[in-house]
Amino acid sequence: MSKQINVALIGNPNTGKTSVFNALTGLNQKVGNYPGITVEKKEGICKLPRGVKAHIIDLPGTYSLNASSLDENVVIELLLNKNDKDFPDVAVVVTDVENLKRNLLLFTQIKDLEIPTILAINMSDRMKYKGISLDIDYLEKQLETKIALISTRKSKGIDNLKELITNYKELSKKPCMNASLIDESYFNNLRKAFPNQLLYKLWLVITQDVNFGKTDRKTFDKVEDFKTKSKTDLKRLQQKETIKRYQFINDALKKGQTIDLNSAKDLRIKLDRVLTHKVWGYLIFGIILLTIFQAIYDWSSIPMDFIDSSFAALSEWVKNTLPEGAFTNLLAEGIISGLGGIVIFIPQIAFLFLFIAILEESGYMSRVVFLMDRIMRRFGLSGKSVVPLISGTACAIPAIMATRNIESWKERLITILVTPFTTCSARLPVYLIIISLVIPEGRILGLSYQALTLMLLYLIGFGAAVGSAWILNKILKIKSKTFFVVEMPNYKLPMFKNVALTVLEKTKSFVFGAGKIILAISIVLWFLASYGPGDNFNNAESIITQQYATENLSEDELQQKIASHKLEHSFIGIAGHAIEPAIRPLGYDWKIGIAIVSSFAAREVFVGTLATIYSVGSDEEETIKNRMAGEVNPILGGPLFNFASGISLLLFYAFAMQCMSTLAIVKRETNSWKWPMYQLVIMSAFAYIVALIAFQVLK
Amino acid sequence: MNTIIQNILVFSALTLALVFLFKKFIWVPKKKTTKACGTDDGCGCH
Repeated sequence: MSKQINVALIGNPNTGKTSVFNALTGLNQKVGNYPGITVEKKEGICKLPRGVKAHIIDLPGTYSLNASSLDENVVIELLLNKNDKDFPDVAVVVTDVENLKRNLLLFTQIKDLEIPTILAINMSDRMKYKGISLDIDYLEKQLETKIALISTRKSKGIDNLKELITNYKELSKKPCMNASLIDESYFNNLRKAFPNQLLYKLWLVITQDVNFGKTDRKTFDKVEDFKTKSKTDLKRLQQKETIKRYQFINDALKKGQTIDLNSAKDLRIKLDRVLTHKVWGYLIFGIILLTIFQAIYDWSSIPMDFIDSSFAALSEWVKNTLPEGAFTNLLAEGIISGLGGIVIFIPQIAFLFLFIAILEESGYMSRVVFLMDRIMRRFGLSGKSVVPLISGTACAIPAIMATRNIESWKERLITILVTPFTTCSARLPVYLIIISLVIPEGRILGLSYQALTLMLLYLIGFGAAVGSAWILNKILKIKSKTFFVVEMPNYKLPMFKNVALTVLEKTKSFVFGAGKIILAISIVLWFLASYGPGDNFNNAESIITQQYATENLSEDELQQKIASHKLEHSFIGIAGHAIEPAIRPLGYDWKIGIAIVSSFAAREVFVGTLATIYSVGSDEEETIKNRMAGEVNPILGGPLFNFASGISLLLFYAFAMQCMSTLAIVKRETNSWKWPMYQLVIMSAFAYIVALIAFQVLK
Repeated sequence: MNTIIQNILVFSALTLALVFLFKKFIWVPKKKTTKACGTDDGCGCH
């Protein structure tokens, strides 16, 4: 039977740790959360030589074992807990050859926990460009480890790394540094008080008292013959520890690493000068955004049309093939139409994430964060708010959780409150379908009106976030200031495998996350649209037949009238008519009203809901877009989705707080219902007023 | 017969959908917190 070993991948951010993880696991990976918290957990399986299997866990990036965020705590908690099922048999510390000195700090700390540790030096292909040479044998001796010189970009050294993992039992467990050197008398007392325990582990428990359950520093006070120190003194000792470690690292690198600055060809400085320039930087970013939105439209139109017509044909096929009845109708009109409403957007979502992944992989995204920091400061937010706001373009939920590294509570609260304004991927289906219905297909300077509208909506969302942050900043009176440090990684060509895996993972989570909700809501909506109370619904056929007895209607026309009458008197029709007076001034009918109410669960449900409602009772094979385009405004006449009502809807969705999950996460992060309720009421009221003004002005 | 089966399937699907939505948005089970770690309490830290 083959043995499975636990391998933990650990490293500083931007060392290519995830690339190593992808290189080792390929598609045998899954993404989840650590129990009880929302930090992402990536794990996978890797086949090693001689039939050994490795369970690889990609731990969150951390600069040291002195945790300051929830992500970093995950690393320490795992490394200290031998009973954890993921406790590593071997740790692989991934480092960047260009930042070896800084990266080795974490390595020495892990080594001191007496866990077998391999040092993987990544990006070795860049050594000749940077004039770096390494004496591997010397470094292995000094660091008491085995070194794998790898390049995930060139797929070099991975086999050697696998071999070293397989032979992990041969690795030395000897620590790099004697922990007592930090403060001899203090550590001697500690050793006397806890004679059977590893000194460096005890030190970490004392200094990292945040997430260690029952034990915090006070526990050590209760032990006789041992007196712990004040927080300030402990901080001083931590600083001393860092200095000692760097002394050790400097000694090792003095002979082990040589850097010939004359042969270093640094394109990075030249690129940074342009890409972070106060004029060119913004201009280039603007051009990149325009290109992205144009490409999203141009490249995805063919697969989208294909998916749309395929779902329409599938729905028709189900109706014609399965025996007639309620369940067949549910499948054809409810489930298939509802799912079609989400699957159709896969190409556009995938392209959006493709571009985001390329920008991140290339190192450009950090420059964007730097550029945005300049703007954010003027509105009273720190640069740390930029990361949540930018990641909010994917989803507000992880973005709100990403605010945890903002130390100032007021700045964090403001960021939490304004993040839902940024255009998340759930808004995208709503925007795309409405834009395609109400914005003409023409072009200006090679850019389509539709792509420009989409980009404008993203800018409106970002502008609303920044503007409301400015107002909140004035109201909440922020006094404390935080510092902002962003690491600028080297520019590099994006790796196809990493980009492909990111797109796959993000698209999958969008489709399956939203898909389950849409499927369930489609079933409920179909039921509510297909059943109704009273004679008006049950005797629809006789009522309509009598009503139009004198008119010479064809069979199709009569069936259409009956279906329409039934829908109006179904449960959903009754509910829709009840809310219609509130939404009519915005240019919407009761069907749109139902879609807005149901999309409170998740914004993307809007399209699926309309697809389901418009499908009920319809015998024709029609695409979602055609069905929506064919809807007539019952009061004003003309298309229901015209320029005025379309813009009104776009603005409503740009500003409204239409996401239950976001409200739940805001409640959890602020530990109060007060803030999500403010958010809900203010954002919804603002969205209603803006949509009302837009429709009344444009109609 | 066909009508009865189809209706049973519809109501089963509806029930499943309602239970799913209820569990997703209304009744969220409490998750276990991370295991305590520190003293020699058998947590494996020592």
